[in-house]
Amino acid sequence: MDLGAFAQCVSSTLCVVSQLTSALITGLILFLVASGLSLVFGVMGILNFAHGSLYMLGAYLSFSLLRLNFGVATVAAALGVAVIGLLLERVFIRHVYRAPLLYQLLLTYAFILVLDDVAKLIWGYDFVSMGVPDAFRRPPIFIGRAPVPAYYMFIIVVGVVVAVGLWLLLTRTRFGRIIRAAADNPTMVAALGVNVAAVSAGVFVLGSFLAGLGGVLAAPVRSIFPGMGFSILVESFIVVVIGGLGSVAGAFVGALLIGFVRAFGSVAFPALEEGLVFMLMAAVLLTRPRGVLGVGKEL
Amino acid sequence: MALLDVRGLSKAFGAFQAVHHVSFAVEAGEFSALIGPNGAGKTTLFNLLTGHVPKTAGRVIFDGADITHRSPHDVVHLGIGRAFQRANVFPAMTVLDNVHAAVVAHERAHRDPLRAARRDAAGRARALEVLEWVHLEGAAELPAGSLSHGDQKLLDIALALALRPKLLLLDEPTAGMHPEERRATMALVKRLWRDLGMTVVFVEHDMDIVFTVADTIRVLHHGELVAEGPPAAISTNQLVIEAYLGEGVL
Amino acid sequence: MTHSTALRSIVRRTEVTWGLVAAAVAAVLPLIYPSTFLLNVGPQILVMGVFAMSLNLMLGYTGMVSFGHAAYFGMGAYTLGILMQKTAVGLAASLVLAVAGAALLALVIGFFCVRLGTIYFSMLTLAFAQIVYTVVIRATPLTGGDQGLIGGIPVPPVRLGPWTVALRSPLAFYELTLSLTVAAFLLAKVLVDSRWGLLLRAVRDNGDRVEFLGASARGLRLSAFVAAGGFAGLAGALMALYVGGAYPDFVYWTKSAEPIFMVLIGGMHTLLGPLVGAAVLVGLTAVITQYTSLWGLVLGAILVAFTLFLKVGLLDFGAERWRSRAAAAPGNPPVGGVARAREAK
Repeated sequence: MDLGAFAQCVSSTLCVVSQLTSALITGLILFLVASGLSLVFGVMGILNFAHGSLYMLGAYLSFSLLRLNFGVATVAAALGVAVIGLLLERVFIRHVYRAPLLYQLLLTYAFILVLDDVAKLIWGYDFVSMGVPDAFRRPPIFIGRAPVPAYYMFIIVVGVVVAVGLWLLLTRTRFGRIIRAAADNPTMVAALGVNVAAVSAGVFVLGSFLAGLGGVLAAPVRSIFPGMGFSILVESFIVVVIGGLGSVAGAFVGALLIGFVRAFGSVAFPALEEGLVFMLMAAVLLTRPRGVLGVGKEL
Repeated sequence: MALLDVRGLSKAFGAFQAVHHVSFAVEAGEFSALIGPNGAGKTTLFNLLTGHVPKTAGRVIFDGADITHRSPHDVVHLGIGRAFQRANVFPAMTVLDNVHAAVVAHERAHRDPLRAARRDAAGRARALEVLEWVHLEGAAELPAGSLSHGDQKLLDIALALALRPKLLLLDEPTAGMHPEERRATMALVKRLWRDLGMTVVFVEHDMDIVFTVADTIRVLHHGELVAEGPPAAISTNQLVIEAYLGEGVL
Repeated sequence: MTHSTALRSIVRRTEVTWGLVAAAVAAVLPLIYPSTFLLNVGPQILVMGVFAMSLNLMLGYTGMVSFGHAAYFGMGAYTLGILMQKTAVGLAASLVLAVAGAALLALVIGFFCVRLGTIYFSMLTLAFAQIVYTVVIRATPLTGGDQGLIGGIPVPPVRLGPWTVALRSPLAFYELTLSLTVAAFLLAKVLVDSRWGLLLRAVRDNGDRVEFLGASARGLRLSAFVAAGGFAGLAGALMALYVGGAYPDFVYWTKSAEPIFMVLIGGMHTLLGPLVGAAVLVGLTAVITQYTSLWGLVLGAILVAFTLFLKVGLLDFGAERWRSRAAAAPGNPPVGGVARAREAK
């Protein structure tokens, strides 16, 4: 434990702003990925191991499309991942909705193996680095005397806008109401005459789009490599558990919590960096097994 | 002294009083019914007696021992067996293994992990004997999940019987059966009660059955005990009639 | 699920026989066909097989899905590695201590985990395993940190009566691993067929009902957790011997995923199933990597086909086939209890 370093950081605007920005971008990117995972789990009961691979594909696609134009790359890559998600759902995953949970895990784990190798085939075995897009090569924005890179601000703004948009989608639209009803009681929705196949596909597309968008946003600030989906997958699971299974609001709280724990925890407890989020998850599970908001599903 | 002495038992789920200050005494050898409209708190009362749900207030004395705060598995060893409203068995295991598991748990024989269950001749013979009591010996090698609903209910009762209970709590033993089956099952239960010298408290919705077979009837309404006595007294009790008229059952 | 009963009774009688026959073939095979590939891959299959079998004590027999089983595998590996590298403790004693250490760790972690059910249990086991992982990579003086226990594990020759066996020889190590695997299989078989094992299956089917039979479901879950941890410790210790070290990825969560998939592929209603699953997964990976570095693509495609078309583990599928053939023989339908009670009236 290094409380001295922590105290020193908290007393300096520079350090606080930099850790705060880092917490927000980590948390918001994680939220994008984890909310998709949580939606897919909540509505369809599928724990999609390949969700992290969709994030990876988002990053790679954005890397390849960047030569066209940043805006085009961002939108096209996220939509491309949504289409890949749709294909996975329609061709494979819909056949295992009734299978035991573990067989669903095995299938989606197989996707990880395949997609990682596809990435190796197309983009090579090594790390690729994309760098900040030209549009954001400009002076940082100053908060007090602390500089925040323009691209970081962009991630934060997009993350918040998508979170609000998702919230509006789920609460204010018919599609959203159906999704929430399906998460509460899937058989009921079928009985109401809703086209369940269309809802499943729609949720999968939405979840994949969110994962892809997470990858797109992360691409310029993270190294891109086959297997990069693994660690964000585990963190997304943690977010879903902390936030409550199937709860998007919980995912938002959980993801930001993890962002803050990582950013400030690594200053205070450098020796425990890798274990901190897992300690957080263990603490939540042992005290509030339904998630911090207490709205998670019973399994 | 009564076999089971319930004093001022209460259970609240948040603001909802599921069981409110219930007191009664079950005499040894009793064959009694617990009735009441849906949501009266009958199953909750059973859950409280067997230690499955923590009590908000009150005490439970069984066979001279205070069991208010004992765990479900302790309560079983003191002699309270229980069968459930929805058949509660081990579906993937054979019928014989189901009852054998009950015998093993009762004898705490699972603490010897080195001797083969198949070689436990005494335990398996005992399990088979219990199956004969409920006429399920012919199904011994079938998976419990493949039995009919009614037979699963009997197996559930057999699991309780394997524990040599002094007091047997049956939560709607005939739920989901045809009227004909109900009568047969209840007659079987009454015969077992007589042959095995147990005390039985059962929950039942079929009033014809209740008033025919029960020696004592207790009525729960909105979590409170509103009447207690022999069938003749209960059928003319004004409070009971009101409780049921409100629900349009009787 | 209801099929598993009849299936299990067929398997019960034949599983030991099949296991011993397979072990005998495996023991003789390298003597008549001394292939480097076999001596290389064989011990890996056996070690991962024991690991997957240990997980199945929880997964298939008690209905608990652990996502953090690597913690006990790693504990076994590091215990043996540290003892043999840094102390004068002998091989046999190190193996015993590795198993004991893993079981003890499982007792401590399991104590908390068995309070939760379903996916919450799984996630808590994962959390604890990752905490163990953090400890392993941070306790550098003891564990070697990121690098792991490098520098090899000195394995002294073992005296067997008049012979002295150098375990450094691949053949000797193969046979040692095989005998320990057989021993572990037989012990596990005794355990799952015992009255304790009977109650574990009862917990798997319906834990709440077990409480009302007078046994503690939580206690039974914990005992299964500890037993599984002990066997995983043995597998880890053997793995440390095989690779001559212990490394952080032994404890990493991907190592927890492997045995789950082995159990699913081989079948969760037997002890041999996980061993078959290990043979398939490790064997396929070894074969495929000889031809292409894109083994994930090939293996992934096979797994996708497996999940979509077979949908049950290989041994479960085989036993099911066998059972349905045996069941084709006509017999009297048993008379149910309610019907009999009506007759008796």
